[in-house]
Amino acid sequence: MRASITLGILSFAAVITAAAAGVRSMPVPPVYLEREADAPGVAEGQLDWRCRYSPADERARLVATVDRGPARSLSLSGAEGIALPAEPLLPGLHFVELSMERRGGRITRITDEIWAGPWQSDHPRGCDVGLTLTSEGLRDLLLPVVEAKLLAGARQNPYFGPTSALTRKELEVVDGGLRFSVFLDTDEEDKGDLSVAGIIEVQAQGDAGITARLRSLDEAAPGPKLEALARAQGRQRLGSIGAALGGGLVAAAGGGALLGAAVAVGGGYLGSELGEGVGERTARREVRREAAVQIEQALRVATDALRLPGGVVVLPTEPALVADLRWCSEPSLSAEAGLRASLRVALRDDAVSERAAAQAVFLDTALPEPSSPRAPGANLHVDVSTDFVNRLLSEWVVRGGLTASLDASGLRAEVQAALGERTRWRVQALEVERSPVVEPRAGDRIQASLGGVTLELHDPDRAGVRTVVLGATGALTLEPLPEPGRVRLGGELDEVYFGCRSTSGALERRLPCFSSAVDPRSLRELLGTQLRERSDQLPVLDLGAVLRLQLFGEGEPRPVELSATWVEAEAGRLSIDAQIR
Amino acid sequence: MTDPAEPEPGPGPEPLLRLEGLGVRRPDGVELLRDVDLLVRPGEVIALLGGSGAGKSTLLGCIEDPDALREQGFGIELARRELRAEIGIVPQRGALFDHLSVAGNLRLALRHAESSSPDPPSGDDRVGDADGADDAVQQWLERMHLPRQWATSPRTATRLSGGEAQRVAVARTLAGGRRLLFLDEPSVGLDPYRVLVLASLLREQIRERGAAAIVITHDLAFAAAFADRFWFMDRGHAGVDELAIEALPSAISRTTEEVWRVEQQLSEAVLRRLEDDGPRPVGAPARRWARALRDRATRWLEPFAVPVEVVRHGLGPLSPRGGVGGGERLRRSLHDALEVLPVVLKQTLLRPAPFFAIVSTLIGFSVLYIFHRAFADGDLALRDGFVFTMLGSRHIIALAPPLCGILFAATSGNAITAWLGGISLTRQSEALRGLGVSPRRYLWGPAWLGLSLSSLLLSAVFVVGMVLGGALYISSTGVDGATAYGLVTAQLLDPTASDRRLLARASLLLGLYAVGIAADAVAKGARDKHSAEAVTASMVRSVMASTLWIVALELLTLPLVFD
Repeated sequence: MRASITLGILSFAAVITAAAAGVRSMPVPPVYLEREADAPGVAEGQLDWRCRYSPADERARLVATVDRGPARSLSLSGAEGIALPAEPLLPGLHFVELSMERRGGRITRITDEIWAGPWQSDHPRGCDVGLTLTSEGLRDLLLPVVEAKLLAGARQNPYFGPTSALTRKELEVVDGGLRFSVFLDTDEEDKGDLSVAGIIEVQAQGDAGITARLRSLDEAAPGPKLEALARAQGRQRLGSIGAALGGGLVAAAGGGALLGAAVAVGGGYLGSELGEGVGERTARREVRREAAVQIEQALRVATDALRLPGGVVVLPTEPALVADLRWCSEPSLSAEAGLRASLRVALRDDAVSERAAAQAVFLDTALPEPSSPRAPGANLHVDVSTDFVNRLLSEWVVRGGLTASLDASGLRAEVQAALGERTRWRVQALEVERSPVVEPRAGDRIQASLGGVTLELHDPDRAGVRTVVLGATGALTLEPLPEPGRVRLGGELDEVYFGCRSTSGALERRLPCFSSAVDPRSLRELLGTQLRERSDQLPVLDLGAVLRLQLFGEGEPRPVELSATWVEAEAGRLSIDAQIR
Repeated sequence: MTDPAEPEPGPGPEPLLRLEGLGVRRPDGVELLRDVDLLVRPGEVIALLGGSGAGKSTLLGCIEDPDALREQGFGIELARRELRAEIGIVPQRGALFDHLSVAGNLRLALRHAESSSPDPPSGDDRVGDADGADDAVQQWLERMHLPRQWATSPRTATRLSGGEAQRVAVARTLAGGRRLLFLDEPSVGLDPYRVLVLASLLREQIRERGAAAIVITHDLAFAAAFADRFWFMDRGHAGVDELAIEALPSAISRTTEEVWRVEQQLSEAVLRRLEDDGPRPVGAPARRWARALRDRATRWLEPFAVPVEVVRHGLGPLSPRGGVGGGERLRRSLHDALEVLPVVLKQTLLRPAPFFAIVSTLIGFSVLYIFHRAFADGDLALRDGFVFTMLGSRHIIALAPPLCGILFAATSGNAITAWLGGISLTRQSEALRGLGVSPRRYLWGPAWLGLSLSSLLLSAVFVVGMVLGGALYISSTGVDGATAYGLVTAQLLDPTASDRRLLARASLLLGLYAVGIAADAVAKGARDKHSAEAVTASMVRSVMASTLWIVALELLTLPLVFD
């Protein structure tokens, strides 16, 4: 019996050891999708997605979809290889999902992202902004400016004085220029008066300049008071009259382009010549004639009315992102359409901007000819190209603006709070690695895709780290606020994608994570609800500031006041109508 | 000390038994026998008399299997042991195998009769030949003055009277080819007339077959009617005395007067010796404790020996021995197994199966109910589908082995422990050994194998029950039946790689529990029992031991799945 007991114990130990070794040696291959980290997944506009999948023996059960479309047939190759069939792939962000449904509704899901070019680093953009300002809008915009400029000069002048006023002020857009007619008068008895009318021609000069020259001077006559003063005091005293008058008119002509700070460099010259000519003659008739001649001669000199500004800070939150404005097509003035201009926003290249360009998708969204505003009461229409918007988004993301904005919004802390309630996960970082891709489409929909949002989770108890990668597609909404010119950014989610990632050297692994615990549809509903319920915390866009409608800047630029705004999405561009004053 | 062994030295038939220089010391150190010689010749009938605790059973044990006693801690010294006959044991009240009919008892003996069997009644006692076996059984019944029709009727052994049982038991022993019979109190419960009839019948059969018998009895009337020699075990000087009886009749049948006269002489001799018979000194406590510790350790480790013993005794007969070929022995083993297995399966599989089905269904239902309510109704407010998907069949894989194991130990395992304990308590196991049938092969093998098989089948019942219970609960939440079934069988039927490890561990545990619990139940049940309390104690110990093993193995095997 003792021998049997001994043999039995030894046998038991042997069986246990062998069985345990058998169980332990059972392969439990990790589930992952592996590819080169820099593999684009697309080649020449065709899907070119090849990966390695583990466990290899379960490849046949995988169901592959692209952007949650119909299931694609996977081709298997080698020990672990899988590939999707080639097919045309639009530029932008795409999500490849591999899912395997097991008995009992268990789902293993791995998500991979495909960033399909071309990229703006390889292709120059077309026009970035197109705008149309109606004749009425232009008149309404310029008249106060002309008045302010003329009166500012006149009231400093001893022949007009501080009570100077424009008793006639007319401004009208004609083809290629502006027709003006003003009469400057004063209540003081020993002061002068002046009447001027004509057409100023406006033309582009170079890629960023604009010139104004007198096309015709219909009237240039001192009034009775000025004539009398001129005869009595001679030329020396009239020297600054022309400066006050010419500066205002030329500024008005240049400012009609509505871009940048205008400097009326020609005003001084014009005024000086006028004053000298007038002062030499004392006869009334001669004075009138001479004034007309001098004004005409002065205004016929082509004057640099303005230059499109350089060194413009494009994004208020990114002071390092500086651009120079350039004409994309020659601006035009017409009586029927008003002012039309197309601009290119030339971002100054630096290393960061190059990276942003390399990540900004190039959709080649050509802007059409600037069109008239359609909204009732609107006098300004602006088109912003999709490529430009995407470039701005890319700059924003690459420069860390979005991540900083998310941090500042407290989102990371909120995610931590939500996770920390029931899990050990701690949020180490919340970053946005790639910029969103937006694509306005006909029907007022701004299609948007976001990927590369990473959530670094850390389990302090088990020293585990997970990098969760989130992605989403949906629509951006721009909701006008009661305050003029302000719109709130919003969003509606179509699909939400998530998975985990680990990178080792040149290889990147996409892993399933939380796929049994988190249903993408439920997550989408949850995030959608959050978006709706917390819409008041979403960013607000100040269109006035963004469009930088700053005029006539001898001093600080002044944002144009928008009394109403309409924003629509059209194919390839954002279309904005506004009423300015 | 008198020398009872050779009262009549001289020529004659070869003795069936010769022991010389026998010394026996109990495990507690008490000396029972010292330098005793014994001799038994064919045809002799010996009455072994003595006070209670004198060591009569131990003496017979020494004759039968001194090594077994040594294993129990007895100190055995033996200068010479010659045994020329198979020993047959007839315990009190016959100890007929109650899982067999009367005919079955006889057939078992006939089947295991060695070729040296002195007188096969019909010349063909093979069980495989049903007619021949029935004839043999009928003849043995006839010889013992028992109804011939019992050979074909399913009359169970438990319905016999005491005398009938004794006669069947003797017939069984003799039919098994045993020529040296050890009878233990064969007259217990019999009226004086039937005692005389039984004595006469036994003497006749023993003499006819050239056999011999040693009978332990306190019934001096039976001894006077039955025996030719009278041994008295004297506790005083650790010896075996031959009592001298004057004018002992040699005829097979003794008259009432003859019996009465011999009984008077025996009474005087026995009473005189018993008056002088004092208790023996008890051995050193330390040795008893050591023995107790050894016993306890052995008791814990014995289950490990069961599979080994089963294999050893199951395969051992395949080699030719005693003139019987391996094929024949294999046939006997299979026949034995088929005889015992149905009893085992009935007790361990069929009876507990409904219980397992009900309990497992309830557990499957309740576990999902608890998890569902905890996760869906609690603060987590998880969706129903998610709760069920998250659980899948993991709770079944995790819970089925330990729960099923403990239930099995408490039901089927205990049934076998009790059954074997009862067999020991009613001395059927002794009778079995007396027929030359190893309980380890006849009982342990089928019991262990049957119990292991039952465990595996009941595990399957348990898993199905949990699946059914879970599916029922999920269905009650509004999920359609097919989906509910898919949910609770998720990891069972469609395992991931890590699930496969979980399943492998569960399978390993179920297998270990099956053979382990079976071995423990057999080991605990097969230990010799002398009281009903010992039976229940072994049942409780078996469940406790099995539970402890289950807990240990559950914990120890967790690293197989979770690093």
